[in-house]
Amino acid sequence: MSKRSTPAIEKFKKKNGGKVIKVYSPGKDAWRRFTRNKTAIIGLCIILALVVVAIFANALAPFDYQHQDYAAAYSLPSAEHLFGTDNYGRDILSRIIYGARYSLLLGLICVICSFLTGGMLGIIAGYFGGMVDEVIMRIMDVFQAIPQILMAISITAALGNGVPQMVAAISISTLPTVSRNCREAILNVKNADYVESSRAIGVGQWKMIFKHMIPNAVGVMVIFVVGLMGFSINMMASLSYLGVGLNPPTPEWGLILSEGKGFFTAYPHMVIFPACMILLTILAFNMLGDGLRDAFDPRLK
Amino acid sequence: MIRFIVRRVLLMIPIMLGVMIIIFALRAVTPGDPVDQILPTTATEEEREAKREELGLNDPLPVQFVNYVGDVLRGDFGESYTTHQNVLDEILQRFPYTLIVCFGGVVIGVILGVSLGVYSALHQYSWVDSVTLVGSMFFAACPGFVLALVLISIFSVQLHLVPAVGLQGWTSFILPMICIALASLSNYTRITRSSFLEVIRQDYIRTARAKGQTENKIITKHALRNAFIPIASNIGVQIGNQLGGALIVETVFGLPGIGKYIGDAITARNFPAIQGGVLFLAIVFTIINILVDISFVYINPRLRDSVLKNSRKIKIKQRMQKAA
Amino acid sequence: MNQENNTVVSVKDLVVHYETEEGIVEAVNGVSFDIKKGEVLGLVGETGAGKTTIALSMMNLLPFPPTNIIEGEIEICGEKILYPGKEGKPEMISAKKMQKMRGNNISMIFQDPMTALNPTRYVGDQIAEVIQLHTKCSKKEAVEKACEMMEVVGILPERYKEYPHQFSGGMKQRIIIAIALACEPDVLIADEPTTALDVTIQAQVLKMMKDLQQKKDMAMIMITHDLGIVAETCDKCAIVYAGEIVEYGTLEHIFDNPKHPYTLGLMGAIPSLDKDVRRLSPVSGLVADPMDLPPYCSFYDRCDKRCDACKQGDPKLVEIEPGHFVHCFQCK
Repeated sequence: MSKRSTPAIEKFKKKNGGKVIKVYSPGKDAWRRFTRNKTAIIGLCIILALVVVAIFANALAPFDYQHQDYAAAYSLPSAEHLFGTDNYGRDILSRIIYGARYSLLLGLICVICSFLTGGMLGIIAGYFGGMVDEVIMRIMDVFQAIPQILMAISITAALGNGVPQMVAAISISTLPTVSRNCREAILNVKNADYVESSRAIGVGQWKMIFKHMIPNAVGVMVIFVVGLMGFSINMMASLSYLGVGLNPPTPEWGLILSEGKGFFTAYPHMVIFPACMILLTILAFNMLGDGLRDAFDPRLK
Repeated sequence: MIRFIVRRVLLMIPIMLGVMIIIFALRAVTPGDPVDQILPTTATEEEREAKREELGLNDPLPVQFVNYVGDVLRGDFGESYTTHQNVLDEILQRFPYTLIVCFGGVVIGVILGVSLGVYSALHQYSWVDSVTLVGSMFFAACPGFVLALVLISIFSVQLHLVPAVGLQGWTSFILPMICIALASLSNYTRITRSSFLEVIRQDYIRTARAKGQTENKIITKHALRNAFIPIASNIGVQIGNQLGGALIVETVFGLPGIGKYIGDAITARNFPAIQGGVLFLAIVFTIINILVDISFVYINPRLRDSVLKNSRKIKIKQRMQKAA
Repeated sequence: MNQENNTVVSVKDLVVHYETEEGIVEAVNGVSFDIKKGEVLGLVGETGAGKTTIALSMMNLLPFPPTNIIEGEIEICGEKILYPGKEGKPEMISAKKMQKMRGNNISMIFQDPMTALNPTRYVGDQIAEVIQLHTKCSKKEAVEKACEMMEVVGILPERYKEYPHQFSGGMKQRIIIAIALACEPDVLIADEPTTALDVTIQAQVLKMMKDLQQKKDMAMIMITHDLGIVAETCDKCAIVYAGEIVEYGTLEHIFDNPKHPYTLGLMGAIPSLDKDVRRLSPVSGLVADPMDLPPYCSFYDRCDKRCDACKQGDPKLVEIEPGHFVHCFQCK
């Protein structure tokens, strides 16, 4: 039904089962925008595929990641070794498949640790404000004065290589950005009119935090977590590349690449495949993060 | 304004002190005895003890820290374990290379990134926009060392256009600069694009249109400056990232800058060099941030006003205190 | 409506749709009006009635996409802004020609003074800009003229080199008025110029606008939802509902002899000092959804005088006395 019928209206009605209006709830609207966002969906698919690979690494990998076959060392990609082998004759494909576990799991642990430390600090600073905020943020200023990768490197250089050291290095180096972002998210919500109005009708403090503030800050946080995941994986690979990440023979992608870089000119496959995997994974997380941001931000329709 | 600058510089002192605490703490938690690094394994226990005493390692930690701060203030960043030279001298020698690569790269990145960002915002959904978006996403995701290796394999190994590693004349700077430029370019393109898209939706752009202003002038006279506010505030952070990125890029390209210096020091467990390098870059980074803050105040009149008002408020407060 | 020589604005059968993903918004559905030199027309209606869309289509400032102009003709100062082209699709004036007209022949004052000024440029420069664009003068002359304009709207020229955030809302609106009037346009559109202002400031700004309009003998369109403002400033008034003019006439017609049930409803919602009314009688229901307008009278659902005849078709705008038009089957 409408005042006049234009081709556009007819087309719309046809598509929408004769109805003139399509109504979306906010959540559905965000979901719709997310699913229509090609980059986000591609990113999500890549991540899901990587997760599957990581979980079923045992079944998927043709060889054990430590299996050394000196006879087949330095072999180029072939039917038997799809990605070729390295200088010890280890199958690079298998190492990369097992490496997915390290990258994803360690990335996740890093993000969780960052949030437990930096995130909590930021939320506390933002929620309580005043002196607490001032003290926390001034300390963060100090941390921010050291560029992130430098911070991470000095920490691993001091503590040595290994998983816990690397997690500590990455979560401490991301401390200032994580806390700042969380603080901002909380401040935005805290000063929003709907929080003000629920305070006016006497909603308790904890109910306020859990019912109003956190749900509304979640969108921003999710976007940030996804971005942080990509950043952590990047940082891990960089640290391993520089020799201050994990210890060989761990099949971490940065380490595989680092071990292969000496043979780069003669056997580029030892560098190219792990490099592609690192790039692909970070790209996937960035794509997903961007897609989520567009979906959660209704202004950019 | 001078008051603002002075205050900003004074604020540097506690921050630098904090940075020194972090660096010192890292040294304190480092397992192993530093003396092992300096002296040959054949050294006797007496020699070791003497060295410990000389380095002040037997003092309680607070005393050690005060000594450390005193040394740094005197310009003594310690002595390199490997070369036995003053770390600060070594760093200052290498600083120009980092400066050229880093700032050259960031400047190229900013100029190209902002222009690309504006162009793709103005032609939203065009093919240039899509290519720019995909490209910037790709380069933003690409870790520095991967990018560096790819560039080397294309331009040095395949095309023999520029030297792959080491310092062989000015051509050696090209690839590292491109590396840094691409990384910051992707960032600025994205920030500029989104900030510009936000600005051209604003009411005052419509007002400018209603005045009969041409589209080109609307962009140059009204949109750019406003779009630049978020970009400017990001430049400081970006330079910090690229100072860190320089470490990786210089290591890959074997360029003798501070980054390579720190990288080498890490491999050799040369702690005074690592700490000195990190402290030096932190100082540089903080100074850059102050400069960015000051320029930021010039770009954003609202901020300028609050800065001036604050200093006025302080003046009034001081006067009142004097009177009381 | 009769054509006369001193008609400066003529809008005929304007239909504008916004095509969004949620549906098609029928913002303006066949609006026609003329304005003569020195005349003030009030466009009154609820939020979402399509008033601003009418104004923006006159300024040619509608965003494409999502806008789709279905049909219509607009002529301002003898220049055809919108005219029927081939294949029944209306065509628009070239962007270049329109740029020359904006600010010079037709100006607009926007609703929200808080965001309508560029935060990073001197307010004075923002006035001088429009002067330099449309008069051949040096920068210095433009600055002088801008200072004059600031004085005209009651702001000290000493504040030329200040930024918008240093001004209050009312003063920002004065600056915007100065920008709009700097080149003495033939037509001024004021889109709810006082909605964002305090009541006391409202009166000042309105008086100033009315004085300037009379002094320069401009045609003006006053867009508002406040009938009080219409009574103070306008000569003619058009009541807009769901993108259509439902009643059009002089102030006397509208205020003393309202015919359309919607106009009557609006009048009933004004508190009055002289009548002893216990309760105001608001128009019941919600404004018709412009995405889902009925093929019959849009006001049917809220009308208290509706009958079956009303559902038979869309009424036409009928002249019930000279110069008084009503869009209703019941008024003959």
